[in-house]
Amino acid sequence: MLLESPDKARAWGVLFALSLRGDGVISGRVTLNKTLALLQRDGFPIENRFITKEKGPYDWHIHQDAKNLEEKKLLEITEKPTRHKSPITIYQLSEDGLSEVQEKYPARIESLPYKRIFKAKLEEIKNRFSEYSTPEIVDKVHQELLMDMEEEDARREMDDLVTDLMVARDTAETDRDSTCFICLNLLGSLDFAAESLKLAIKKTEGTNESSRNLIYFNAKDVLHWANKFPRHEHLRYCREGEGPLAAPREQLGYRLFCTEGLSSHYHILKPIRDEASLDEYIQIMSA
Amino acid sequence: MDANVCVVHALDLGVHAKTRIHDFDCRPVRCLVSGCQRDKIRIGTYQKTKKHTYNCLAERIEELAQKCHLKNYWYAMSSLFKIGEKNLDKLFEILEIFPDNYSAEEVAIAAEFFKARGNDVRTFTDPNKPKVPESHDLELLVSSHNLWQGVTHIVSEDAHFVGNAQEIPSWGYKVAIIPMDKLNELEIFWRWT
Repeated sequence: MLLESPDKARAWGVLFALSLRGDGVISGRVTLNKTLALLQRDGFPIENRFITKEKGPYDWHIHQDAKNLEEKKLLEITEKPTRHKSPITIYQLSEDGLSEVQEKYPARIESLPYKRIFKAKLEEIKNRFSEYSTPEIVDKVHQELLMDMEEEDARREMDDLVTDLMVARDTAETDRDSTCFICLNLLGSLDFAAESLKLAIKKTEGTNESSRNLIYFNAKDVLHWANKFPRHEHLRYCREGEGPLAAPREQLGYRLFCTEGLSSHYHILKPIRDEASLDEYIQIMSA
Repeated sequence: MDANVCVVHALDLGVHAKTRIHDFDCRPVRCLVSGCQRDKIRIGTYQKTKKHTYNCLAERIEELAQKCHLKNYWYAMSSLFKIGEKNLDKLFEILEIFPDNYSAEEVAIAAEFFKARGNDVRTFTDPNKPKVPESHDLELLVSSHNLWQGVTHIVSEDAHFVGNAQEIPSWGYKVAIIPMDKLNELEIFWRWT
């Protein structure tokens, strides 16, 4: 591996983000920050710790990591003059960077859990960047993460979601059949999403850490998928991704996986996971 | 191995909230499996038992989660189940999966033996336990009898098997019962560790 620890786990994200663009080019620090934040939000093990700056997710390490990658000849950074005061930073994958990505990353995506959904998310992120202009993308990300709201309004929105998740969990508990595995998936996901968001709100109070916003987005999607099977046919053991309601169960599992990843990364709530598989996952992505 | 013993093998679920979540019988069952592998003794379970095992897993995890007083109970339950499910998948890669080999008539005869000659297996925890095992246990017994010419050992904690361990061979079954709670003693004798 061309990159040395401890930055390598974080730096892989920059290469990966660039590889999502057909031409391997990202224009502007803002766009690079947004891409990495979107990847982290959607469950990829992006090791940055985002803070909310100018109503958007930001990590100053990103540009520094890109510079380190430039030293390793994996990408090129140029400054392009603009009509505004400051020039725009252009990040471009080099040939070495491109072959690094092409050689390693497809196999890594294949080895992810929920790989079908991960692949779809990648397409979604790629399309977003090809279909919309940078200001439109910025607006959309800020809206989805409640970053464009006044603090008081955002807080109310998040508190309301915690309440909705708890109500949904209590309803699922009442309707539960003790032998039904869908009930167990549902209850587990709602329980973790509610607790995780509640703690994230509390722990980030008075700080500008973006964890609560990223967790909010995932918790909202957990509730969305949970609402797809409120009164389902109870089912004895059936593997995730198989049998009735396979698609919503898989989506719910995926969103729980993303919420767990964020909660763990930002030290909000420690997920219960097979530690070996979690380490394996991070190693696969950053090796 | 019957379904519950397979489940016990899977019940080392890691350390969470500073508590190691495991079943105390997990270690001897794991020793048994690895010892048999090392000594090339055939060890396995049946196709139908394998399917049933995943259903039993949820019940055992619920018991463990309650005992450990884990926070976020539902999340703990569903996550521990996923870990247990993975452990079971790994176990079934190791175990031989024997074919189910029984007829309805043979199962009915086995049921009749338990009914007419079986011991009373009512327990403190289950005072209403019926004298006849559930059909999947009867199928396991008959399949084990039909498996080969020699004696098949069934490792089980089921009260019907353990409570009739002496009687079952006398009914003509080529089956010996190894109670799961005796695995520790056998481990020393057979030097599995």
